[in-house]
Amino acid sequence: MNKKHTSELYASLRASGVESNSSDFETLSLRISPRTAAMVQALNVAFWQPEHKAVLTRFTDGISRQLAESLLDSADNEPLIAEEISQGVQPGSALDLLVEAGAIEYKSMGIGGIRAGFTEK
Amino acid sequence: MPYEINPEKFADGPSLVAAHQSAKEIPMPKLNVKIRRSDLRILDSISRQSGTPRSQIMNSMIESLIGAMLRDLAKDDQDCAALVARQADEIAGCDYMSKGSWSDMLFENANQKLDHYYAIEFPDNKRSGGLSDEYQTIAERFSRANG
Repeated sequence: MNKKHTSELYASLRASGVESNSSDFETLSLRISPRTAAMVQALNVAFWQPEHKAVLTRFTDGISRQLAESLLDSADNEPLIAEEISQGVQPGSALDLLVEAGAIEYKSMGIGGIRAGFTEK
Repeated sequence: MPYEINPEKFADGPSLVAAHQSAKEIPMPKLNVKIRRSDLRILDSISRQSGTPRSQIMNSMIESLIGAMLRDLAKDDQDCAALVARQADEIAGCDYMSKGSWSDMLFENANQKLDHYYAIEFPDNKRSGGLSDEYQTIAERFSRANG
């Protein structure tokens, strides 16, 4: 019987990366530590080849996910959310994930409240 | 005051001066990352309010994401994860058994676990044909990349 695998890296051995060309994205060039660069290089060879361009988008969803989780760590993050939400909710973004998680509720006249899911300090 | 250094009490690593010299000589590599504009605005806001450079916040997020990916992979296939970690350690020029290596992180900073894996678990898996097809695929890719 085949073991069921759940990790993103394992799945990428068979799946091909999807590149988004949307103007809703920005490409940043980050200076990273040699240690991190070595791991990116290893992951690139192991899982992400031959579409080297795909490395660009490998962290996009992860950053949104991690940002959403970090925002949920404290209700004191509400001002950060309130500031951004006036721009609308970009699909797949951290805010979108918070809406999905029920941490941001839409009411009939727009965004109603930021409540559920927060950890009270 | 006369003294003697007991060399047995010291590990075999490079001196602090040598470690910092080599760190200075290696230019910081660049990584291009595509990020959603909405996330970027929030990160900018955090950076502005906290005084921490955005790049530093993103670097720490990426490092943490990679660590999570590796640990996640280990749940599916420990051999694959150990292989990737060891390859990264080799690329970085760091001993996989040393503190701060990716292998060390994967085995939760427990040198005994790492030692046990390479001394017993991995050879057992290899002997019994317990290594997955995915492991073989990745090992071949590394072998090609290493020339």
